[in-house]
Amino acid sequence: MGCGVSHGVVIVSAAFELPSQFETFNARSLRPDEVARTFVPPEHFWTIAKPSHTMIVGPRGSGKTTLLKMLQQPALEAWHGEDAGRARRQIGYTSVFIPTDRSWQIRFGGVGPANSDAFPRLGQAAFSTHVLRALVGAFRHRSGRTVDLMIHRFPHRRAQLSGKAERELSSTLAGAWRLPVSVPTLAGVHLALTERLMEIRMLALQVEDRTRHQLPATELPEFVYLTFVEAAVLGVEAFETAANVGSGKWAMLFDELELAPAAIRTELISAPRSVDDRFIFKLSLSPFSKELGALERPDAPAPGHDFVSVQLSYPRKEDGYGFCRALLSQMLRARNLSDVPAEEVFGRSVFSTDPVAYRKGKSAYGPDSAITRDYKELSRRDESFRVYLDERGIDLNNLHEGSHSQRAAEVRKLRALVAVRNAFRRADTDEHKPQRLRSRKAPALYAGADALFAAVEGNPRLFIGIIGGIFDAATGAGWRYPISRPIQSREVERASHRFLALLRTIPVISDEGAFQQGRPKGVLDVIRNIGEAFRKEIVSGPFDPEPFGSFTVDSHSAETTVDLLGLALNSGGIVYVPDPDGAEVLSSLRGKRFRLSYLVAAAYGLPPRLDKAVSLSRLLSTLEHSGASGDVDVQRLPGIN
Amino acid sequence: MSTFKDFRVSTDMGLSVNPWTVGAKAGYDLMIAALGYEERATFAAKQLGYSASRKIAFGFMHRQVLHFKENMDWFFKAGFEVIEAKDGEEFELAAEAALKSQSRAAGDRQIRVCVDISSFSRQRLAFLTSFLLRHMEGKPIVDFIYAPSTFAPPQEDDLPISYCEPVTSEFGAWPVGSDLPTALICGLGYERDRALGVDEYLDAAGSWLFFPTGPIPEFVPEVRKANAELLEGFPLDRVIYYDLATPFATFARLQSLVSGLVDNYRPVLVPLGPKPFALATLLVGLAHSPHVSVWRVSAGQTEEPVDRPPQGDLVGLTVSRE
Repeated sequence: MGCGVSHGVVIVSAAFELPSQFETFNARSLRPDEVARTFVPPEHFWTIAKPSHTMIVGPRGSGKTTLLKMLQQPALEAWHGEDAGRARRQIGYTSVFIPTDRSWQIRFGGVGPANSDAFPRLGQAAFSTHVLRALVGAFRHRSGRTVDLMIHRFPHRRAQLSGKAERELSSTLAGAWRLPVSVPTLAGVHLALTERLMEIRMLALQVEDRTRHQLPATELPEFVYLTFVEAAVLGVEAFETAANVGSGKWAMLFDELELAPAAIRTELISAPRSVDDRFIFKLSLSPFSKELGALERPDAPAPGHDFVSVQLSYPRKEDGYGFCRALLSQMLRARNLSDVPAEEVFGRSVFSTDPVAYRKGKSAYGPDSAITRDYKELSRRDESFRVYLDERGIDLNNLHEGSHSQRAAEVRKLRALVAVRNAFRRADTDEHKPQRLRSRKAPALYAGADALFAAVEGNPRLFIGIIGGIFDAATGAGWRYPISRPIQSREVERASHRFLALLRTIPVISDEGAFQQGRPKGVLDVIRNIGEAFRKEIVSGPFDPEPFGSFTVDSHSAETTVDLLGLALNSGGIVYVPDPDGAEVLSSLRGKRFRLSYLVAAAYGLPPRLDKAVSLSRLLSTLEHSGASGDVDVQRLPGIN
Repeated sequence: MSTFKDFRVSTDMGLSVNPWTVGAKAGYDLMIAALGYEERATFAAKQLGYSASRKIAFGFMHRQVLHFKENMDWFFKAGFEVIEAKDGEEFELAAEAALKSQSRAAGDRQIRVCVDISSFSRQRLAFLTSFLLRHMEGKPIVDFIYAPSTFAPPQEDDLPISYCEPVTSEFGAWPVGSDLPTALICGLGYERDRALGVDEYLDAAGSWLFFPTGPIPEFVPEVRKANAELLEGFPLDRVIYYDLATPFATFARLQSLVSGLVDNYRPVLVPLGPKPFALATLLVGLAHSPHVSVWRVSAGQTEEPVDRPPQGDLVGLTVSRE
C-alpha cells in the first residue's frame, strides 16, 4: 500500500501495547502459552482433562475457551506451577483446538440465499478445511516445526520427524486431501489449506451471485465432498507412521460451537457414538441450543455414558467462591501485592449470611450495632416490615440474645432483604402515593467479598474485568485495604451497565410486520420486565420474608419471550437452576427454573439470593396488572444510572 | 477541505482516493440519489444533478413518511428515474441492472458517477460502493457526496438491535486468519450506549473509536453524553477525532490505522454515526478485503424516522480504480 499523505495519518506501533484496563479478557485472542501464563485451574479442569468425550457447557465468559486451550501441547509446555506437572502426566493425548468463527456462521447462516443447496455444502467444506488446518497445526507442534515464541521447558508429547519423512507425509496429505501443495512441508500443507479457504470464499460469492441472477449452479470441486472425520483419520495415521510413533489418542477441541451452523453442531454432538475410537471429542457450548434435542433421541449419546457433561455456571453462588479466591490470590501476586484473604481486601458484604461469622460476631447483632440499626430504620420506614416483626414477636433490641434459636437464624436471613429495602424503597409517608424507589443515589451495597464474588458468578472474564478495575482505581487512589466500598460498588455498576448494553445489542429478528404490531421486544426488554417484577416483589411491595426471586418458564409463556430468554441464558443474563437430577444442557427452557444473574439483579436493586420460584407468566402478569414498571425511576439504580 | 486537495491515497487493491471539492467540474454521466424521507435527500441533486446525463433515485419501500412524497415529486420533475425496490436482493438487482446498462452505453469511455450518500442506508451504500469500485466495467470515477444536516436532537433510542452482522456478504471477513485476535474500530453516534454494546458483543482484543466533530457544535456534547460510559477511562490515544467536513482526512486516518493493524489483527469496522465515516469504512474494507469486515448495527426499520434538513454544504470524495 502506498500512502501519500502526511496529514491525518494515525501512527500505529508494531507492538500494540494495550493499557491493562482495556486488555482483552477473552482467551480467544490469546496464544496457548499466553493463556498458560496466568492460568488458575478450577476443579472442572481435571474432569475436562480426562481422556473422555466431554461437553463443556457455560455462558459467555465462563472460561470454556481457556479450559480447552490449556489442553494443547504449547500451553502444557509453557505452564509452570504446582498443578502443571499433574496436568502433563494426566493428558496423554494430542489436542487439536478448532475455534468457531462468528463470521463463518453468518456467511452460511444468514446472508446467503436460502434456496441454494451449494451453501450448506460449502459451509461443510469450510468447516472441514478449518479442522484439517488445525490438525496440521498440531502436527507441526508435535514435530517442533513451529516458530516458538518461548523456550519450552516442559516438553510434552514431542515427536521426531526427519526432513524426508516430512516431505513424504506432506505428499500423502496433499494427495488425500486434494491439495495443490507447492512446497512439500507441513508449512506448505498449512498454506495450501489457507488458500483453500480463500477458494471456498470465492465459490460462495459466485454461488450467491448466480443464485441472485437465477443462473444454474456451477459444479463444485471434488474437495467440497471431503468429510472431516475420514480426512482427519487418514491424516493422523499418516503422521504417526511418518513420525514412527505408536497409535495414540487425539482430542478434537471444538470451541464456541454455539456459533457454528446448526448442521455441524448436530453432527458433532452425535459424533461420540460413531467416530473412530482414537478420537476424543471435547465440545464447548452455550447452555441452550434447540439442536441439543438430538441428545434426547434413544440412540443419542447419553450424558454420563458416552460423554461427560461439565457445567461452568454456578446456580448457587457459594459454589464459585473457591475459584474466585484462587483467582484473587493469583491477581494479587501478579501485582506484587500481599496475598491476604478476600475479606481483608474488600471487607464483608452486607449480603453475607455466613453463620460462622454470625456466631463469632455475636455483637454484630447487638442493640447498637450497624445491622440492628438497619433493621430499626426499615421498621420505621416500612409498615409491612413492622407488622411482620410484631406478628413474630421479634424485638429488635434483643436480636443478639437468641443466637442459637431458629428465630434468630430467620432474622439473620432477612438481612439482604432489609438492606435493599432500606436502600431503594421510599418511606411509607404517603399512603396514596404509589411506592417508588428512594430518591437518593444507590449506596455502596454491592461491595464486600461475598457481593463481588456473587456478582461475577464464578465467571473468570467478569472477575478479571471487575476486580482488575477495582485494583486499578484503588491503586490510583493510593493502595490500601480494605478497598473503599464506593470504588468497589462503582466497578460493579460499570460492569452491570456494560452487561445491559450487551443484552440490548444481541440481535433479534424484527421485521416490518413485527413493528406494526407494536414495539418489538429484545433480550433486554424481557430481562427488564423480570427485573422490575422481582423488584416489586422484593423491594417496593409489602414485606415478604420469603419472596419470589426465581422463575419457571411455564406453558403459558409466549414463544417469543422464551426465545429471547434462550439468548439471555447463553449470554449469562439468566442462570439455569437445575433440579438435583436435572439436565445440564437444554434444548427447551419450558419447565425449567432460572434466576437473574446477580450482575443483572444489581441493576434492579435486588439482592444476590436464590429465592423461591414463581411461574414466568404469573410473574410478568404482576406488571401488567399494576403498571408498576412506570412507577419506578430506573435511573437511580446501579448499573443503569 | 482545501487542506487536502493536493493529496491522494492509493491502496493495495488499486483504489485511488482524492478529496472532492465544490468547484470540481461535474459533467456526470450518472447521478444516483436516495429517495427517502429526509429533507436533505434532494439537496445534492439540486446542486449537482443538473449536469448529469442520466439520473436515478432509488426509493425505499418502507417508511414513506415525512418528506418522502415531496422528494419523490421533485425527483420526477427533475428528470430522475425513480426506482423503488425492497432492501436486499430486489434493490441489488435493480441497481446492478441500471449500472450495467450505463456501463454498456459508455463503451470504452471512462464514465463519471455521482452518488449522494446522505440518505442511503448503510446496506445500500455498501452494495453501490462495492459494485461501482469492484465489479463495474470501465473503471468509473465516482464522486461520493454528503450533505451534512442541521442539528436534530437524539431520540430516546431503546429499541432492540435487529442487525449486528457484516453489512453485506462481500464485506464479511473470511476466517482465513481466525487465529488472529479481533480489533474493533467503531464510529460513535449519538445512540445511547450502542457503541458500548458493540464493544461488549464483539469482545475485541483492542478497540479504537472514531469521534465525529464538525460544523455543527451541538452534536459533540450529545455524542459524548451517549457514549459516556464507554469513553470513561478509555485510552485517549485510541479516540480519534474526525471532522465531518473533511472526509478525505477521515479516510486517510482510518486507512492508516487499519494498515497498521491488519497484519496482527482481524479488524472489524462498525460505522455508527454519520455517513462519511460509513463511506470511509467501506472504502477501507474494500481495500483490505477479505481481511477486514464492515458491520452494520442497527434497529433496522424499527427505528423512528427523523427528519434531517441540509445544513447547506456539500463534502465528498472522488474514488476510482487504478
